[in-house]
Amino acid sequence: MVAAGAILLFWVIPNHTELADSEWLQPATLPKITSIIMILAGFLHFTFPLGKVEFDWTFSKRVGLFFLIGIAGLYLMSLIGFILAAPILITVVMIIVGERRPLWLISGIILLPASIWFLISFLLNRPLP
Amino acid sequence: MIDFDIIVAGLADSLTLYNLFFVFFGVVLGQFVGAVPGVGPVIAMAIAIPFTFAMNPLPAIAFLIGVNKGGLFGGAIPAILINTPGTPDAAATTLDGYPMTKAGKPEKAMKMALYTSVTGDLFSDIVLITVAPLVAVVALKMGPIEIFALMVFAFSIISGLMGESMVKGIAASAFGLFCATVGLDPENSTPRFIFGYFELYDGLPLVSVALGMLAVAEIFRRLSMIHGKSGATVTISKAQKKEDRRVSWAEYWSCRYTILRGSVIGTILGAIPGLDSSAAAFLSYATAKQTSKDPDSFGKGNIHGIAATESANSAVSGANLIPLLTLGLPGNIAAALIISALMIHGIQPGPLLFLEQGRLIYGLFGALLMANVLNLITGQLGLRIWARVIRAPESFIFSTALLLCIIGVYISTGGVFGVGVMFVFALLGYFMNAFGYSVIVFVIAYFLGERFELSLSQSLNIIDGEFSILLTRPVALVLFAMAIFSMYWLGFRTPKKKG
Repeated sequence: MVAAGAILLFWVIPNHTELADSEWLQPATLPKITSIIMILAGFLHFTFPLGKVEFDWTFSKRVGLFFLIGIAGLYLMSLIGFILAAPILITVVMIIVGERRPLWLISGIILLPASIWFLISFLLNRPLP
Repeated sequence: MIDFDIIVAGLADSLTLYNLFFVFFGVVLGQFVGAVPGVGPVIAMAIAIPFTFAMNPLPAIAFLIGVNKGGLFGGAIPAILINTPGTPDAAATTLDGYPMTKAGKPEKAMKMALYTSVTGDLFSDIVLITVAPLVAVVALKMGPIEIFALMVFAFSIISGLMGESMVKGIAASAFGLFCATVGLDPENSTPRFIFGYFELYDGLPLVSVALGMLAVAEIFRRLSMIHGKSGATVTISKAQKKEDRRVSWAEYWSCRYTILRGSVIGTILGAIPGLDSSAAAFLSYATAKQTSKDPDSFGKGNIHGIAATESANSAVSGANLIPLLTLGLPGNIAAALIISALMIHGIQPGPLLFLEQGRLIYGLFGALLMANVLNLITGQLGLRIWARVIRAPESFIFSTALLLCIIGVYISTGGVFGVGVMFVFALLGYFMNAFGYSVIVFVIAYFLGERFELSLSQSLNIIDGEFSILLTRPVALVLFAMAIFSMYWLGFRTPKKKG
């Protein structure tokens, strides 16, 4: 938290805000206040640690994997569209979590995207990726 | 004071078939997602918000209210059947609900939960309808300095009550406020933290942040927990006695004081920003046990136990809307999501809402009352169905939720950029949760960020360097003092778990 606040205060804010003709509240004022609070809170927490920490590196890597799958699925949707990309995304997700029952695989891979397409694109007439 | 005609028109709006359909749909969806452990009405509301973009404000908000109310009861179903609360506020319901299932009375327990949930909800809705306009009148007399002081006080309360560390809560609030400064600054319209993306001129998309932090982070976490065949098994025996499958009027009436006490506790706690319904449920349960003639029977299948918890956790929902509608301050995350839905429709919650959107407000009040009726009817009819729903494997349910999040944000933000932001905040939300920083506090601070900065700017302009002006603003001074006191009381006096 201290590091995050320091990066915001000393690098992000100076390089991504502008000066303005305002007497009291500059564009960088509130961001600076919040980043200073984050730094102070971080020091306080370091001195008087409270609250649970439930961080598991192995579990976090698995979460990161699903994050990357989500990003890849999104990129695929932007390339080939929802109809083709959604079944691929769901297939990957369900296979990775270990789902092998044909009924649920078919429901997830075929019925689910088809239902969404029907509801969004056909009934509500809204565009899908 | 609002014209009587506007009140009647608003209530009439809520009774149209179109609005009732969305309330009903919301209640059904809420009970469905509430019955699935780990999903819950908050995720459903977050997913549903972008889809309500195309709707008018009244059916959109009524739908979300229906989801919230349905979810409050839905969470009790797995709590009773498989000792796993569907929502955090149903945690206390497991104490007597599951023992009743083991004793062969699951339907009796679920029906008791339904009747007392609806009763508690109705009680707090009536309080909301009668009290909110009065609070709004008081709130209109508050100027920018008082509003700024109120927000500081609200942040101090929320930071201290949500999560296990005041310091982490303050850090999460600060980070949420920082993220709210992305985009054009409200004072000078200069771009901040754009990083070359023109899509960020309007700031980080509201739905992307909310869904990412609240829904997708949890979806990723739950998917990561699944290894191999997933699912939950629920069985209800067919050889049940008739009296074990129903709640008689005499049984319900015997719990009237417990229900009333739970409703009052839930309403009072619900009106205070930062206190969630699980706190109300446990407090009500503890009080009911203490005042019972047979306290030893609690925890072994006493219907008073279910009555106490469900009336309290449901009474929170109506009361949460008091600070939301009158002051624009969300009492909990569901209220924060309702704020985002109102803002998407161009409606700013706060004291002026009663003057500028009186018809909408009374339409919402009507929708609240109708949602209770529909919750009762749907719950009564759907108890067996919802019990079957929770048998669907988590692999299917969370895959569905993930895809809906992607599509919902795509439609709402008009492109894949918003979905990308959602995934980034999902990862951020996961790490914040893992290290004990409350994402709820972050999201509430993010929602209030723009208003906070605006009121800070107005306050500084009014003060203009003369801080002695604060002495002429006693309400603001009291609120600042209360903020400091609550930070001390909640941060240093209240024992917390060490990390």
